[in-house]
Amino acid sequence: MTEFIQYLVSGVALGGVYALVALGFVVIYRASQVFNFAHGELLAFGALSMVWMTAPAVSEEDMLSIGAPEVSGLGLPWFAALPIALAATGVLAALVERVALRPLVGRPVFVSIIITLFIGALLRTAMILIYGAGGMPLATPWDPMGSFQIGDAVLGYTSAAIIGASAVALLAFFALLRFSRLGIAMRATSSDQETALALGIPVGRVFAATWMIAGGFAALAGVCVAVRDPQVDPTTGFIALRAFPAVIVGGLESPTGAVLAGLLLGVAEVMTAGYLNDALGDMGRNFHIVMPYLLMIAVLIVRPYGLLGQRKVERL
Amino acid sequence: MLELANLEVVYHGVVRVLTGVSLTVGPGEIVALLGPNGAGKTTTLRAITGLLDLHEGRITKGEVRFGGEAIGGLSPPTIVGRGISQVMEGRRILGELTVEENLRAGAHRADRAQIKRDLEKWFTRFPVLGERRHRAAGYLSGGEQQMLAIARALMSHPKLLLLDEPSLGLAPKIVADVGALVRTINADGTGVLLVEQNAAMALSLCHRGYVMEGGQIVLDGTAEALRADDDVREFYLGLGGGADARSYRDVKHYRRRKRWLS
Repeated sequence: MTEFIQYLVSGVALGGVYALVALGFVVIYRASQVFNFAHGELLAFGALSMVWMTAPAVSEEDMLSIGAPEVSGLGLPWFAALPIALAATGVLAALVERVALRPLVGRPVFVSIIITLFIGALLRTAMILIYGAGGMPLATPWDPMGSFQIGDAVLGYTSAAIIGASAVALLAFFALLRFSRLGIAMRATSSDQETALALGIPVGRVFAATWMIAGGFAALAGVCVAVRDPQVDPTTGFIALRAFPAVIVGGLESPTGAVLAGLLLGVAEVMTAGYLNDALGDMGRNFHIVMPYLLMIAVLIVRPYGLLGQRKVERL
Repeated sequence: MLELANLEVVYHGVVRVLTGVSLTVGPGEIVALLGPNGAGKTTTLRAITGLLDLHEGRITKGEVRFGGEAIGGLSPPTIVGRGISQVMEGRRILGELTVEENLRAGAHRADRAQIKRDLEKWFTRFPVLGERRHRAAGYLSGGEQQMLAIARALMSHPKLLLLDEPSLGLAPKIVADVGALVRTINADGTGVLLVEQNAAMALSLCHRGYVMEGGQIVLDGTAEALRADDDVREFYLGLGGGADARSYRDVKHYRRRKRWLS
């Protein structure tokens, strides 16, 4: 039982990251019908900016000594750097939309897919040039080994921080969507762009805000990955591809579905790693990575539009 | 207040839909714009609200002026900000949003206190909307959706309201309700440009009217004058000329064009 709870907690922590990434995909898709394949690079950008801002400043001479870090940081305090990293990634995402994708409105979907793939490659290369290809650790303001004892189960500070941060971000987003002026404008725009324009909603600015929010979520997910993993590098962004099944399982158009599916698949992945991998022997090595995709295929067979896929309200 | 001068609109760079449309709507006036399908009525409205862009249309000649200022080519949100609001054809209710959220979407720039006052006002005026304020608007009936669409357009407190086919697909009783609502709105001082195929309804409401055909204004006058006009009576109101009532079989289709465009 203790083991089960342990797996559940790590599953939820992983699922929280998936949920953040999947939600980013979904809000962008709903706003601009673009599947953003550069999302992983935004995630990596957020994580690496965080690393760079919090890493201690190293002088020129020290850089030459053996074992010195490749890049000198800014030495900012952790919790001051976090909002800057989120905001910077948000701005970068809005920039990508404005410069590369806005001119493509009305073009076939595959054009925007190719463009986002290209932007992803571009960002990845740029990050390698700036930060180097080597991995860098992100220090945490809490003791990375520390943990709470709850009953028999152990909850690491890091897992707790990831679960807490993603829960706060997700709840804040849903509150925004439901109650704020921007949220209503976002939903109006994604439901009928022409009507939104006719009502005086500045659709361009709504797009920018949507991409900023998605970028901020990507960065937060990146920071979560960075505190969990020993090191981050520009290819950390590939984790976004592992959140991809969550988008499909939840339904491409449903923010709630993305979050639920993200949590579900996170838990499923950790459970598989915990219980199933060993049972499968040699074949089971890394089977947990395959598991979300298997679940995705299963869901697609039963519900082609995903668990909470688009259900149009229509009068009969 | 609103003034279109010799307006020409071209879609996709090749299709000329409006060929020199001029019309005016004075403050506090109800003006009807009549015409058959494809005459360019909706295009005229798009030219006013700035929605042409979305349909790859462009104003190639002429001017749209509102309150003395040229507004052709401004963005739709800017034009809403200047005081022109539109109810599009087919109501275009945001079905997945609640009734209240639909109204809020129409008040993107208004301040909180004003939104609250307006919501109360509309929920009192239309109790059905009030009862269902937290339900998805897509489940409202056609007539209720039309009222919601008009209320939503009025949330921005426009000086001029453009209505595109508000009677479309509604029962006669509901059409009368819409007419009554338009009168109340107008009595509050809002100008109305009413695009309709239902000429009887439009001419019973408006002060003045224009008849459009083939991208041009072919006839204009006061409501009484239009109601008395033989052609309007025959082709739009379906009232034959009394004693010499004719079958449509006898009317050669080119005759009506020839008479108006000569």
